[in-house]
Amino acid sequence: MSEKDIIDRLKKIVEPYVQRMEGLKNFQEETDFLKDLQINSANLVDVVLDVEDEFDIEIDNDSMEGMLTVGDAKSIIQRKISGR
Amino acid sequence: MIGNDIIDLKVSLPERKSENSRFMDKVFSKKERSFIENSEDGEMILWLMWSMKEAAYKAHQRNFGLSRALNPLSFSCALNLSERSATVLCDRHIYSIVSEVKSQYIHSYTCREAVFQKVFVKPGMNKEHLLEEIGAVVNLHGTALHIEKDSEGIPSLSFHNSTKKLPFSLSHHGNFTALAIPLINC
Repeated sequence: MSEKDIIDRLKKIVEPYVQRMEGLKNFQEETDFLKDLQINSANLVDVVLDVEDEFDIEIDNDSMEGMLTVGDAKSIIQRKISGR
Repeated sequence: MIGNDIIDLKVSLPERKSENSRFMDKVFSKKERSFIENSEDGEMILWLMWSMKEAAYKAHQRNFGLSRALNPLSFSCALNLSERSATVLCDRHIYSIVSEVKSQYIHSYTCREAVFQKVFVKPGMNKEHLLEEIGAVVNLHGTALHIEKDSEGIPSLSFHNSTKKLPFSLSHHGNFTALAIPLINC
């Protein structure tokens, strides 16, 4: 799976939880789920669950703790897929 | 150390999170889950505990200058339901939290020191209005105040012609904005 593919699929996952739609225009690794997209923290847990479903992986608590940007999520997904 | 969290119940209650066991596993300990499951209104208690954990998280993060983290399981909440208060434990540090529970919202905040707290309906709320409200608490005109956020997004209040900074906590959700200011040095 290419990085672009992962990021495109991530964008679809987070969209329903985004409070600041302008943040989606420039969706890239630096995009911060809380600051740029204003996703609230309870919904960020929903994002983690949706990522687990979409990529068929399990995100442990230590990984979840650091999933604050698109880049963080991408690295976690890549790591979990390669270890599957 | 100050920390607060607001929950708009009209947004949160319909999500029926108590029925989502995967969500519950990522957010609440076994002990917290059993408390929620044995409550008459589990859905409400779930959000009460969530907001208490969030308020403690913000106070803890500020206290130790920590980076942001999504780690609700690191905060364990022992609820005193009749008093709508709780002690939240993180890494051997204890935070006392109280909550105001209304039909439309839950507002939780730390209460070690005296705290001024207020909930606003957001549509009527802009930054100038917020600064005026804060100014009324600290006896200054709103235009003499600035909100500063550090690199982790933690807000403080700064004053014109002064290097003094006052910590405060701000939370937005749905229709509401909530403010908590410790009543120290003012």
